[in-house]
Amino acid sequence: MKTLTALRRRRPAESAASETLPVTPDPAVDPPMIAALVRPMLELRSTLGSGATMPDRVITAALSAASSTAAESEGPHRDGLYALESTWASAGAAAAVPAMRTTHTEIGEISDRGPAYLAVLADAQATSARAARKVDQIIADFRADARVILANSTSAPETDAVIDRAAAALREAIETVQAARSEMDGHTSRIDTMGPLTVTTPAGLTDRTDGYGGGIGGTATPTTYYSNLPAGQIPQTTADGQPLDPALIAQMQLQQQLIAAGVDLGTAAISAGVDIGTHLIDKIAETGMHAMDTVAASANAAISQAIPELINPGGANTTTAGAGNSGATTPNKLFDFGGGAGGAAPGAAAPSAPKADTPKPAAPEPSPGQSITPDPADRPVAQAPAPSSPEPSRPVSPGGAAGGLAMPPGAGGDQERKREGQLGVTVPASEIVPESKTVPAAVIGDFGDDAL
Amino acid sequence: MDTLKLDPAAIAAYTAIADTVSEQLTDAARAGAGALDRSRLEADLGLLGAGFAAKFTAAVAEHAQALSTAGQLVGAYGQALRDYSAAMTEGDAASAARLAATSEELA
Repeated sequence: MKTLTALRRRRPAESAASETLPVTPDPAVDPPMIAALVRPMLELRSTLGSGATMPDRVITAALSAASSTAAESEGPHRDGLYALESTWASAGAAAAVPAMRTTHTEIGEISDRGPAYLAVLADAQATSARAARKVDQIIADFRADARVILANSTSAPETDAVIDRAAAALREAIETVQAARSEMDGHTSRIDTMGPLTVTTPAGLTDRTDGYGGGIGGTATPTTYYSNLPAGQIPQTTADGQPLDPALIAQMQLQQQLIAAGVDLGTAAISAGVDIGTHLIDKIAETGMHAMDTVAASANAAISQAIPELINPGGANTTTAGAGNSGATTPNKLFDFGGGAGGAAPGAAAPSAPKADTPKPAAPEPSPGQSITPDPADRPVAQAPAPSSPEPSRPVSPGGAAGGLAMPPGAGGDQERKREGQLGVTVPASEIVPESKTVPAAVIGDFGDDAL
Repeated sequence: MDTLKLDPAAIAAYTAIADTVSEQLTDAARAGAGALDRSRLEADLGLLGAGFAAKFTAAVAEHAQALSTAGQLVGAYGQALRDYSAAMTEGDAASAARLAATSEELA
């Protein structure tokens, strides 16, 4: 891993020079390669909530008001009970007073619960906000570093550094989210340990208190909120019924992304873009390295499954206490950074995932916030996604040419079929140039000695 | 029970307090129900906190329900005591009247 401090240190010096370099000048717009790489991080970020540091005011105000109102009643109630006890003696008093004392005590416990709830809510919000802030920072750092890397890139190996940097950032973001998740599990179980609230209704009063005796202690069972997680909606076969190799699907997506990104880097943009893309892809294909794990396994649409799975391993039942014990291992196969042998990635990591985790080939990526509400209708069995769905925001040129990579005709609708043979296919310049209109020429002129 | 002691004024004082307490608890329950906003919690806490939000919302609902029940219970205590006090006072007065009538007959 490259040291990032070196990159940061260089940044000021490069800022002037970068004006002439092929980086999208608008700081608000990510260059395509960065945009593709940052997307999984943004997806992760979207699971962390608003980032607000304080709990919602309406909720806290309501809980505070409830508690303080209940607490206000306590003193007068106690005094009244005391006065009553000292002046009332009878068989009725012997029966009633203990019950009234019990109720008074229970009311005190109930009103004490409000601050406890407020405290645990504040902690949960703090956990969420802290994680959100950290991931925001990770993303910002990645964007800044990646721009510097791209600005200095004159050849494909140098752009690999962007992927390295993205892998590091994504790994850090995942660690942050995992840590936050276990913290959140702790907050959730604190609610459990508070136990149920009880209000004891004296037997003699049940006829007067019809309907509100009992039934208080039970905790409403949360609905199976996560039961609609995406599962099985990924086409696993082609329209012809041929099973798709998940690794191949991921690789196809990676090709599109990287080549499209490479185009933007390019000089005489076409050949350079293709070369960069094919260089990266060849490297990935032959070594199954990091990029396969990060860009493919994460940036592709599988992330719409991977992130809910990361957040809530085990899916539907995680609202119960103790959700934390099942989560430690599951995400690893989804975000396997291939720390070990290089061959572990495309050949082993992706196919070893359960079928439901196979990368979704046509990448109808949910925008942040949509990832937990998959459309149940979106469950094609063997059918390619609708023509309009694939990657609308990707910098892939329309008509099936993805930045120098000739896609099969109708690529917009049937990407599962693009299995092989795309590498290195040159596309006429006219197909590519519109993609690279912001790219100054002649930056990667020396690229040929590397890959051609 | 050896002793039978009843102070209608003290009972009246308690029942008035019980009415107020019952009202306060009902208000508290209503206020607490305002914290029932799972979607807002989920917006703030994200998917990460969705499980927490569900559990928290259930706990808050239980809290509000318990306040409401306690409020009704205290109100019922007040009403029962009012009835009791009235019945005792009435019975005492009736007994006194009967005793007075008897003593007149004996006189």
